[in-house]
Formats: sequence, structure tokens, C-alpha cells
Amino acid sequence: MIRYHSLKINNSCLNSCSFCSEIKQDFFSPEKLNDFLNQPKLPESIKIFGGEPLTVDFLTDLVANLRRKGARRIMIKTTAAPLSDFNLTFNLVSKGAHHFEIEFFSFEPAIYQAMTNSDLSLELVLQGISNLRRLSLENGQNPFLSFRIIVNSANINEVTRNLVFLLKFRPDRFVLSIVPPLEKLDFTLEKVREAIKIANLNLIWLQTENVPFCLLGEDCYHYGELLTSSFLFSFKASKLKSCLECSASKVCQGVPSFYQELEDFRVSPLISSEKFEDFEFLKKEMERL
Amino acid sequence: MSEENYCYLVALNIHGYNSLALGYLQASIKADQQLKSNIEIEAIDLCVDCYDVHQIIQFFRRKPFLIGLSCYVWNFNKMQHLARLINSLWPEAKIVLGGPEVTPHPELVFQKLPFLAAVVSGEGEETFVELIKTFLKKEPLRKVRGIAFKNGESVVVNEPRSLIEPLDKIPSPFEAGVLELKDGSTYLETYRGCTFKCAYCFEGKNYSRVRHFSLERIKRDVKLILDKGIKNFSFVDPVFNLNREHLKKMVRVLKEAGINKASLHTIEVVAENIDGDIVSLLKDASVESVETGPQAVHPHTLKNINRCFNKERFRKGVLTLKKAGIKVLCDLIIGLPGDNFYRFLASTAFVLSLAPHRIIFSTLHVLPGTPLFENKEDYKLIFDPEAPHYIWQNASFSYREIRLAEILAKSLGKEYNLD
Repeated sequence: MIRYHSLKINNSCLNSCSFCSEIKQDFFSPEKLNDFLNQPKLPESIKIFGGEPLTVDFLTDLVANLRRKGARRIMIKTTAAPLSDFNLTFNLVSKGAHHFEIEFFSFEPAIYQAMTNSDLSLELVLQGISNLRRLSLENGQNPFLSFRIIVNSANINEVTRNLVFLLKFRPDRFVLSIVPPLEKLDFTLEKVREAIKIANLNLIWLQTENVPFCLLGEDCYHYGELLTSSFLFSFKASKLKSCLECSASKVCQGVPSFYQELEDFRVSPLISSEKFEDFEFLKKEMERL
Repeated sequence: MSEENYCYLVALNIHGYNSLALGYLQASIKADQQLKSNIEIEAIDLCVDCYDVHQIIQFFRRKPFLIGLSCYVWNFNKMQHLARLINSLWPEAKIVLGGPEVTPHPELVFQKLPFLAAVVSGEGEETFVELIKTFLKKEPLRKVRGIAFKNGESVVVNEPRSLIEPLDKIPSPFEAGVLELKDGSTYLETYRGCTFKCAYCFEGKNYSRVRHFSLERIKRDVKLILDKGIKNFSFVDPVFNLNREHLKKMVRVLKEAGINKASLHTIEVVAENIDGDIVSLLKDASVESVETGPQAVHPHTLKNINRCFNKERFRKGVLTLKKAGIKVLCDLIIGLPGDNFYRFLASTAFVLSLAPHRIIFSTLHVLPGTPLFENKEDYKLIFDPEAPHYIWQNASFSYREIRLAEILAKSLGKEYNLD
């Protein structure tokens, strides 16, 4: 797992998503940020988020500062809309922000706006992503681009079309973040599986977020998420009776409550499969991380 | 000199590199009194991905008498295509293949390219010189050790040639001035062979023992490299810290040659053998970065690939190197026999926990001549018979799981290594 140290730098966002949990968290005051920067050794990997961190006027200087002090990876979590200003995008990348995680909702403007409760222009978002993809780093590579696609009942029908739409931006990863409200569990999982197939067909890794292992079953694919932070849910979860017999119980927080409220909710705990020993072996290695 | 005795040597390299093998061959031919005045030799040393075969042909400015193609896993497909084209354009030209890709099974090479004049197996420096002389004298090839050739419909594999001893007999390509030295991509060889017998690796080329170039020769070559203004170079040696006592002598020689004016990169080391003393030696040798395993961490997989691995010593070695400011590049191989998706994830988790400078993921190449290639049935290895011989599946790692591991590695590798 690449452990990113979280650095929340503001609270104002261009969106007002009802399911957002980050907005409630405290952000670093300038004094606290200063203290962080003055540590003798900074973490290697830092994720900057907000609100919308790109609206903070000192962001470029902050990135330059973090790099100067030894941060190797700076991931910016953004809506991408502010990147429509090419100068900002160019400055950020040239100062050392080479990893971007873009939250995306839908290629349909009406759905995008409904999910985000905002009048943010989808055109600006797409322009921002295009700007980012126009830039090459010194080594000839493009910045790392991950799309976090937020999925709930408002866009579950379009989830695969969203993926296909985003392929033209040559993403390095998709994250399918499942959030409430949902209507049907089976339908949701079917769409998630379709999305995984499409991403893999295009040789792109797709990881799910807020999806316990038991919901997607024994398929090994899902365990790649253990190497990321996405198996740590951002929603309240509880252990069920069946979790006691599940081989993933030590690394899983249980089942988020928004699944448990669904009419067709049911789980099949992961019980020793032919690869049970390998899973145990993997868990041991995970404990070191 | 006859217009007819024009000889081309062709290498197709990974982008940015030049061929040390071609340098050895050129230096050997130039040092031979008889050949020096009888043939003219030209090296065509190109990037494998930068030219197609029709562009490569543009580099042949004269009608060739003989063409030597240096075949490696990364260029063999293009080399075969090139050989066919050359044979069509100049049917009289003698086309000779050599290199690790054709060494183990020359008879299979003739099945694909029956028009070849010869295939050189093993060390080429002496064999190639003798082969050219034999061609010039129009003598039969039967007596040339270390080659295979076609006699009618059958393939004749001659007796293997003895290993070159001492290695200093091979003229230095640096002294001969036949290599174009470039900062960052200049390589030097200090020994041949390997004491480790990793089942997937052909770096040791199945030589029965390890032979070293003399320390005096290494010192002279390093001096020549430094005198050309090279600030950063490397060694092709399979393991730099193979032997502690030899490493001490090597470092002394490197220091005498003035290594402090430059730095060494991606030196291959056995991490388990790294301690404070070795790190001090590496620092004295201006080593900036090293490359090491573990390739995989599951005991069953490691046993299948005949690899010694001690997790705690490996971890300690990597951390000691990092603490001393030496960058560590860790290698992981996808598709090893005994591994599967879970075990690959466990290997990745282990390497991530060490926070090395880079993680290099690669898919297993089942290379001809390696124990894995020779024992493919034992592990149910199914792989591309054509170079670069990528693994498709094995008894423990399914086709789908290998593809998934590759997709994950591509994403994680970019995220981790991009700084």
C-alpha cells in the first residue's frame, strides 16, 4: 500500500455532495501547516485534499515546498474544474504535483449537477482533464491520473458508459466509490462487475471503494485493493454474525450500513477456498504495511 | 582490400544503450593480424524500437560479404525479420546469428531461418574470428568449434568451444575505441558466469564457472571510461557483491582509477549479503543505486526458481543501503511457477513495506537455456514460443490472474515510481 499522508487544506468546495464525509473534517490552519512543513522529515507520499484544494492560492507554493523538503509523491484530489486554467495546471505540475485523483460523477451534465448539488460546468471539468493530459514530465511520462467515480442510485445505470467516456483521457486507474443511496444490491454489484470487465479489457486497473470483499465474492481480483487504502471504508460499518466465520474478517471493517438497509441485502462470508492459505499468507505480509 | 569483404555487425538495443557484445567482436576482429588487412567491418548499433527493418537496411551502404546479428530476447523477432530481408536482397551474403537467444538451441533457429550460414553458440569473440577466416579461405565449417551450420537438410552442431581463459585474452573494446561511450548507458563487464542458479535467468549463460577479468584490465578500462568524461556508468555483472574479498579488491582498483569523479548506477547486488562493511565499500566505489530482488517471496515459488531468500536479511540489507543514501531498486516477476495472484500481492506488499526507490515489475520470460525452459512440463509452463517468450500461464498462476497482476502492476508501478 502506498500510504499517503492526508493534508486537508481547505473546506470550501465547488460541489455540495450530500454524501461527502470529508467536508466535516478539520483542515490544516496556516500555523498547523507550517508546523507540518517544519518537521525534520516529511512523509514520502502526501495527498492534498479539501474542499477543492485547487482554489487555495498558496497551493503551488505548498507543492514546491513539500517537494523541496523531500516529498516524493504529491497526490492532488480535485474536481478538475480549476485545472481548466492551463497556467495553474502547468505551474502545479512543474512544481512537482505529478499525481492527480479526479472525482467524477457523470458525463451527463444534468446527472453531474444533481449529484454534486452544484452548477459546476462539466465543460470546465473536461477542459481541466484535457489540460492535465497535455502535459509531459521530464522523463516523458504523463502525470499519474486516477478517476474516482462516485456511484450511487443517481448514476448506477451509466457507470459503464462513464468509464468508456473517460478512457479517452488515458487514465492510470479507476476507483469506483460506492456511496448511498443505493436501490438494489444485486443490480449495483452487476454494474460494478461490468465496470471491472470493461476496465480490464482496456488494461486499466479498477478498484472499488466501500465494497466489502464478501459482496463481490471469492474472485481474487478484489484483493488487489488490499494494496491500497480503498478497503478502508469511509462510511459507518458494522460486523455481522457471518463476519465471524469470514477469512477476511481481520482486514475488513464489516459491512457499511447503507448496504444492510437494502431490501435484497445478503452476504456470503469468504470461507476457506482452495486459496485460503495464500490469503492467510497475504494477510501476514499486509500486517507489515 | 577487396570490395567483397565487407562485414556488418548488427545490434538492436533497448533505447539509449549501445551493444557491449558488438564492441567485443569488433575489438577481436581488429586485433587479429590476418583479418585486419582482409576485411572491413562496420557496426550498425541501433535502438530496437526506433527503426523498422526497412530503415535498418538503409544503414547497409555496401554489398555485404558477411552479416553478424546479435540476438537477444528483446530483439529476436526483428532480427529474424531482418535476416529474411537481407537474405532476399543479398542471397550471396553469409548471415551469422549469435547471442543468448540462439545459443541454447541452434537447431531450432535453422528451422525458422534455413538460409543462415552459421549460428554461433556461447562466447562469440574467438569463434566469430575463426568463422570469418574459414569463410574467407572457403574451408569447411566442420572444424570451427562453437557453431552450428546446415549441411544439406541436416543441422550440424559442432563441438562446443572451451571457455575463453583468461578473459583478458579478449581485446578491450574501450582500448580499441570501438564503442560510443554515453553518460548513463556505458557498461563494463568484470566477470562472466554466476554462482547463483536462478531458474529463470540466463545471465550466467550456463558457463560452468565464474571467470574474472584481471583487476589491471578493469582499472585500465575504467580509466578510459572516465577519461572520456563519463560521469555515470554501470556494470553488467550479474552480482556485484558476489564475493566480499574480491569486492574489496575491486573497490581499491576503482578508487585508483578515479571512480570518485563519477558514480555507478543500478549495480546488481544480493541484498541479503549487505552489511555495514559492504555498504562502506559500495560508497567508496561511488555506487549511487543498486538493483536487487526479491522477485517473489513465497517459499514454494522461491524453491521452484531455485532462489535463496531470507526475508529478514533482505529487509535489513535494503534498509542499510537506504540509510547510507544508496537508492534501491527492487524487482518483482509476475508469473513465476508456484506463484499466483495472492502470492504476487504478498510479494508486492513486502516490497512496498521496504519503501525502495523504485519497484520494477516484469512478466516472466521463459528464456531458452534456462532450467524453467528446459523443465517447462514440470510446472505446466505455457508461454509464447516466440521471443520475448512471455509466460501465458502455469500450473499455479492462471492466464486471467497473470493478466490481472500485469494490469495492477502497470498502475501501481507508475504511481509508485513517478516522482
